[in-house]
Amino acid sequence: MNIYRQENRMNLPAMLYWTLGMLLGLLFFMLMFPAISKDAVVITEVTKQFPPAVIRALGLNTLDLSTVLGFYSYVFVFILLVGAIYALKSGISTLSEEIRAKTADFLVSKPVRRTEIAAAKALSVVTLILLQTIIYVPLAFVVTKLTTQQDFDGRIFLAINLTLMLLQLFFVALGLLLAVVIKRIRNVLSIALGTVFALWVVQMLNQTLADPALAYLTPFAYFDLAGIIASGGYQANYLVADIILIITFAALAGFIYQRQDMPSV
Amino acid sequence: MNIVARELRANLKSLTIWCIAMILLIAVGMIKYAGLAGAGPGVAELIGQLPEAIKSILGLDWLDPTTIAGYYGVFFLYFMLLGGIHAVMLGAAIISKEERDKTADFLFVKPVRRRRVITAKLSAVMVNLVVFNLVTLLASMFFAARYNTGSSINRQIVCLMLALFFLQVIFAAIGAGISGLVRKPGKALSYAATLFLVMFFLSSAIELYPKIDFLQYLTPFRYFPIGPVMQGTFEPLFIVLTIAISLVFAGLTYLAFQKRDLLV
Repeated sequence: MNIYRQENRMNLPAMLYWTLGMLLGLLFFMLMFPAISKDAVVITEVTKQFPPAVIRALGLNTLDLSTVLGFYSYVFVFILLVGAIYALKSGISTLSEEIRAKTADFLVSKPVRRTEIAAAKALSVVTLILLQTIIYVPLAFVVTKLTTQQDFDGRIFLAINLTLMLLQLFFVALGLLLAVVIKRIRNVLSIALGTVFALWVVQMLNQTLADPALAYLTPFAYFDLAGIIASGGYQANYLVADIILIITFAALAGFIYQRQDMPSV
Repeated sequence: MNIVARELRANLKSLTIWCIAMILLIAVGMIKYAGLAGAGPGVAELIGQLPEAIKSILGLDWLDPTTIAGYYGVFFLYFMLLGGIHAVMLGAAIISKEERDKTADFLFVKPVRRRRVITAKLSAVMVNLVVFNLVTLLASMFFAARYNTGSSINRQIVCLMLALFFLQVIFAAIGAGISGLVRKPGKALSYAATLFLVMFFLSSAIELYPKIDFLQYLTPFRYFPIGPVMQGTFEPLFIVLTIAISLVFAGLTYLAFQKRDLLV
C-alpha cells in the first residue's frame, strides 16, 4: 500500500502535464474544424465515388471530416499517439527506474514480496491511466462541443474515447514486459517513442493492405474509428485480442520480475 | 579520439536495432507495393481525372502512389518521422547521459577540455547519422529495384535520403542544444521529445489546413516537401534555415555546457 501511494504521488504531476498536453493538442486541432468541414464536404463527395479498393490502396482516410465525430476521430489519432507514449513510458519506467536510480536493492530488501512490489507499481500506473481517462474525456467533450457548436452522438463519442484507455492498457502491459526483458535500460523515452511510432507506421502500412491477420501485429489496428462511428461498437475479436495480450504481457512481466537479478550498489 | 570511439561503441547496439528496424520496414513496405501495383492503371486514371484542388487536399498532387517512385515518396514520410526520433533522442541523450548516469565527474576531470568532449560527442552523432542514412539508402535501393518494373529510381532515392540526413542533423542539433541548456539531466530527453511531438503535430495540422502554412518555418518536417525534393529541387531558403538552426543549436550546446555547474 505504501509503495502504491508513493508511486501515485511521484507520478501524478507528470500525468497531469501529459493530459494537459493532449487537451491543448485537441483544442488546437478542433479550432480548425469550422474552416475544414466546409472543404471536407467536397472531398467526401469525391471519395464516395471511388471504389473501396482504390480508397484503401491510396491510403485515403475513410473518415468524413465534415462531421464532428469524423473530424474528431481524425484528430484523435494524435491523441492516441501521445497517450500511447505516456502509457508505454510509465510501464517501462515503473519497473526499471529503481535499478537506474540505484534504489532497487533498498526496495527489494524490504519485507515485501516482489510480486507485491510489482503489483503495487503496475496498479499505480493503471490508476493514473484511468484517472487520465476520467479527466480527459469530459474535458474533450467540452472542447469538442465549444469548437464545433454542433450536436453529435455522445455514446459514440464515449466509445471513441474509451479506445484510448484500452490502447493505453496494452502499452502499459507491454512496457512492464519490456522493462524486465531488456537488460540495462538507459533511455526510457527513446524506447517508448521508437516502439510507439514503429507500431503506428505498421498500422499505416496495414491500412492499405487491409489484411485482417496483419492487423493483430499492431494495437493501433484493433480499434477502427470509422467502424465505431458506423456501428457504434468495437470489433469483438480485436477487443479479445487486446485483453488477452494485456493479461499475458502483465503476467509474464510479474513472473520475470520475481526472478530478476537486482544489482546492489 | 578516445571519446569518439567510446561513444560509437556505446551507441552501437541502439544503432543496430534502428538499422534493422528500417530494413524490415522497407522490406515490408515494398512487399505492400507489389500488391498495390496490381491495382495500377485504373487508379492512375482515376487520379488523373480529379480536379487539381482536390488532388492537393488528398495529397496526391505530386505523387502517384501506384508508380514506385510515388509510392516510395509516400512511404518516405514515415522515414522522416522515425529518423527524426532517432536523431533527436540521440542528440539529447549523448550530452545529458553523463550527468544522469553519474559519470560526469569521471569524464570531465580528464585532461580534456569540455569543448573537445562535446566536439567528440557531436562527431559520434554525425557518424551514427551517416550510418543510419547509408543503411536506409542501400536498403531502399535494394528493395525498390526488386519490385521495380520501370526505370530506376535511385536518383530520387538519393535526393530523398539527402533530405532525411538534413532533417536528422537539425533534430540532432536541437536535441544536443536542449540537453546543453537544461540543468536537470533527467528532463533533457522529455523536453526534446515534447518539442519533437509538437513539431510533428504542427506539420500534420498544416497539411490538414494549408492556410496556416506561415507556421511552416517552425517545423523541420515542412522544410523538405517530398514532391520537389524527389525531382532534385531543394528550396534555398530552407537549406539556409537548416544550416542556421543546426549551427545555432550546436553552438548553444557549446556555450551552455561550457559554463554549466555539472550535477554530480
